[in-house]
Amino acid sequence: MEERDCSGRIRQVKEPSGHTDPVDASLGLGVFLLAISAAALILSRGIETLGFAREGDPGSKAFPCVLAALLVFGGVWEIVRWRRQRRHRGRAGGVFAEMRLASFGDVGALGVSLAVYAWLLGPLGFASSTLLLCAPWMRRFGSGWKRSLIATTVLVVCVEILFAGAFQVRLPEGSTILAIDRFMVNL
Amino acid sequence: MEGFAELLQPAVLIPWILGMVFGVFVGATPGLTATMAVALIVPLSYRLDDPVAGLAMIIGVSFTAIFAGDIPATHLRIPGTPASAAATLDGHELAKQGRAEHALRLDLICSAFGGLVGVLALMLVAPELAKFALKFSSHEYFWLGVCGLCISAAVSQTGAVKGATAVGLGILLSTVGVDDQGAVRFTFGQLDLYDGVQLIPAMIGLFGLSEVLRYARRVTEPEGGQPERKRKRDGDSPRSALRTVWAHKWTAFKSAALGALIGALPGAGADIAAWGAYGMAQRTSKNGRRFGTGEEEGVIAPTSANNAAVGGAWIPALVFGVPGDAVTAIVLGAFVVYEIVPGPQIFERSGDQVTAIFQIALVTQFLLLAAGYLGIKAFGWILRMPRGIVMVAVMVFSVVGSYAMRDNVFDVWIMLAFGVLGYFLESRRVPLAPLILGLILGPMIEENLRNGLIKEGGSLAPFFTRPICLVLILILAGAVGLKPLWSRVTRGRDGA
Repeated sequence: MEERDCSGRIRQVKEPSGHTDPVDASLGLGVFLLAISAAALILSRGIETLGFAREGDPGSKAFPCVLAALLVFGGVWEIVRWRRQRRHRGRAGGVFAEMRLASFGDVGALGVSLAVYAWLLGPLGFASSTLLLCAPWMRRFGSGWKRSLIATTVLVVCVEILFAGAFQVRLPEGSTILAIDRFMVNL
Repeated sequence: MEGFAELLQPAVLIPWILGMVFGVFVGATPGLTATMAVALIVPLSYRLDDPVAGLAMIIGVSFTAIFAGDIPATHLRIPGTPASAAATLDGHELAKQGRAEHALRLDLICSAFGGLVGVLALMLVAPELAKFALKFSSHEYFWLGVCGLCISAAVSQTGAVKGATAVGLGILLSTVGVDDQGAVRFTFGQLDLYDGVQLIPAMIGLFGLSEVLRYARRVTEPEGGQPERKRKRDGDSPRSALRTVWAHKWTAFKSAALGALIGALPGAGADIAAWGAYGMAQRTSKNGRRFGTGEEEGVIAPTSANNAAVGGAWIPALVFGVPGDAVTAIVLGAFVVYEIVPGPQIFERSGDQVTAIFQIALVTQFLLLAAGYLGIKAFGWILRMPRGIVMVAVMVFSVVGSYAMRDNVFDVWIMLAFGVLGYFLESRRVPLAPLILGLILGPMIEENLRNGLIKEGGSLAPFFTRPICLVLILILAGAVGLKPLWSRVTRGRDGA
């Protein structure tokens, strides 16, 4: 597909947008389903029913346990499919392996930086943490530093006007920022 | 008439129109979907003092974004939503002939007309259906929930097993929190999880953040320096578009009626409606052979049907709480937060709000003409915005939107977790809409199963012997078999 970059030029962007190699996808999904089912089954043991249940009620543990058991079947199905596909088509490699290596870093980094962003909302507040993390991401996504900083600032101002101004949302102000404010006032 | 007058108050009208403009912006941006538009607008709508204004925003966005998805479909051959895929065929061919704006004007008029037919069908059919549904008890509700989930899994584009996996995960996640017997499940000691997984942050994560993660994953190859393809100047006027639609009024009406009917089937969404109407128009038109080469009827049929299906999809959603697609699922989730509980009693319990919903949906079709026209004109501007900046803006709106629900950073963590989950599942071709349906319908299924068992002293037999249950089981069997049958029919036609 085509899309326009920051300099206004048309560039080609490869699809498939983020799909993993179908063979590996089955394995990953199968393992995920087995793990989540196992976790649900183990954690279900700790559910306390408080004794409110009436006659005929299967109880609070039953539904999650049955679902977890069904997901085990789903997981096994995917792993069997993976084995069959692997035997049929050989080991995964080539284009998909290259794509995985080239792109996993960016997704992982974005995921980690989002977690850092969420964590920083408390101490630094919305405006500072957004400026700190979003400008580098705009830069990574192809904009220049100047444009990224301007766009992030405009974004922060728009969100402040829309959410804090119009909808009275108390956006996080940041404990550190407030402490610095208090310190400056005391000075 | 009083209700309509209330809708035209500035406190309602301004957020409504702004919401629709937002819907156009998101729907028309390639890669951002109607589902994402609705998910992002919901937290904003809760902040409005007037609940009618909030509902107007949500409904306005849901209709506008479906139309706006046709804009990149026509210009770039990138459908903004699955429902826009059929519109790419002749719409894009017209665009290549320098008639993009004409195609989009046809599209806009037909979308508004189709939406009107869908809403009228909703207004006429839903109350009658609700009267019948009053005969339902726990056993029937259990099967209704199961029907909705099974059909949504069965019609998944990536296969029934992947759809069922998504449904199972959704229901499992719906068990988090305190159940109706007071038992605490999977909360890990977090008080914020006692009310269960908050739907809106989960939806924003699944549909908004996962898209940003997918964008980060794409491998880009700058080809640089290619000048933008010059388009011929449009010589068509809005009046000529109206004349064209009038000339094909029966195609528009038949397509809209078919769209509303298909939309009303739980699990069969606007995409199936659009393709069905396109196929019907192709077979019945005397210009059928010219379809796919820039034929105006090829634009009129799918665009009338896809918006009609939105109204049609609300029939099972409101009466039974069984949404037909992801957009309706999110709208339904938002209704629950407005304390509008879907079900046969909806017309008694929330009569005023349902009337408001009907009125909003009707007026939205007329406002769509203005907002859509603006969108057609503004598309050039959106196309010029760097995609990276749009994606970072989506990221920030996802974070702030989740936080704004309860002024709680915990909801941001929920959104992040669901964003990663959505990215992981989509990269494994697991559809996300059935997961959301599982999350919404899971509690309904569990509660009715348990209530049914308590009533019958633990016996499962009434779930299979009550007459309406039997009918629902038959409908379920028929509807699940519909997709393979449909695939066989289309394969046969392609082969011929």
